[in-house]
Amino acid sequence: MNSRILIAIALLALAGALAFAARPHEATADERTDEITTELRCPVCQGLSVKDSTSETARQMRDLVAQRVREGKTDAQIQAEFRAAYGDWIFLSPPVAMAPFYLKGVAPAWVNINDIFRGVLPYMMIVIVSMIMLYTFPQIGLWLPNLIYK
Amino acid sequence: MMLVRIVRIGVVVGILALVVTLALAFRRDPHDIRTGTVNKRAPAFTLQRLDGSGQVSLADLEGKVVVVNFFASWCLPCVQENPALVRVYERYRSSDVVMVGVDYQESRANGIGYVQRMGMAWTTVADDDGRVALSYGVFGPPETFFIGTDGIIAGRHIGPIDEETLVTAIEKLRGQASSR
Repeated sequence: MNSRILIAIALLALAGALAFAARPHEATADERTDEITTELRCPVCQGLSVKDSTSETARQMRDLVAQRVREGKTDAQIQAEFRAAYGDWIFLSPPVAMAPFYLKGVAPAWVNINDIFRGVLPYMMIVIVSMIMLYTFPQIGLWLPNLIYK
Repeated sequence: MMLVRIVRIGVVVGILALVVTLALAFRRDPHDIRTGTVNKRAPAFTLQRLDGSGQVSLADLEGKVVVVNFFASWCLPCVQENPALVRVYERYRSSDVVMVGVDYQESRANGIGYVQRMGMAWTTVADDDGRVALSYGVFGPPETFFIGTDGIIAGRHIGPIDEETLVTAIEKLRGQASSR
């Protein structure tokens, strides 16, 4: 019985500690700097974030972000400053599928990521229509192979 | 049999279309990057001269064609492009064209040594904290920006630049200025 009470107390304490650690709190300046630099691409590295890179350029970018945070700039304002200089390329983490971002990497730099997504939409529609047709008429999936390999 | 033939022809046409698309895409000059700051007002800066003899402000150069070149002594392509910069500077030194060399990520002593060694007689400034390079969206030296008399960045060249590219870009901006 005693051991059960002890286990229950330990579990409650653990849950309390987790809840305390996860409580909502306002991010400190350092936390905000880390969050913003995690999303920024280091311009002289291969796929590394500004936060993770040890290059001089990344250090200078971290210093600039930290200064802007101290000045009271919002995340959007700080991101806009880097976007103005480097374009959307400077943001590392893709919010959705990867392929448009690979394409952005090899496309001429004035091609906006939004242009790529607009261009992708008709193909997504084709895929959706194909999925619906295959779901409705599964036999069409083997129609062409049957014709060729009969 | 007919269908197999159509499929084969379709595959060949598809591959040809892909090759043509890629050939057209790769025809672009990778040095000519029109992103970020191009066609926008040049970010203002005020920087210390490398030799310590005062400051240089971009605002003071308004109304002139300005060539901003980011360089560093540790950058081999900068050494390669320097003779072209020297010739172009000599060509335009008594005109309305101003060249500004921005020393990138290095100590003053190394920067001054390089400038003297390479015969860079044009204005050179030190971007000690890298803020100017970041505001121009510089990836790494050498990079050259062409700023028109209206203060707008008209062009950008990534990598070592040659004399012909420099003169063409400068003359284009001078032509635009005189037609205004």
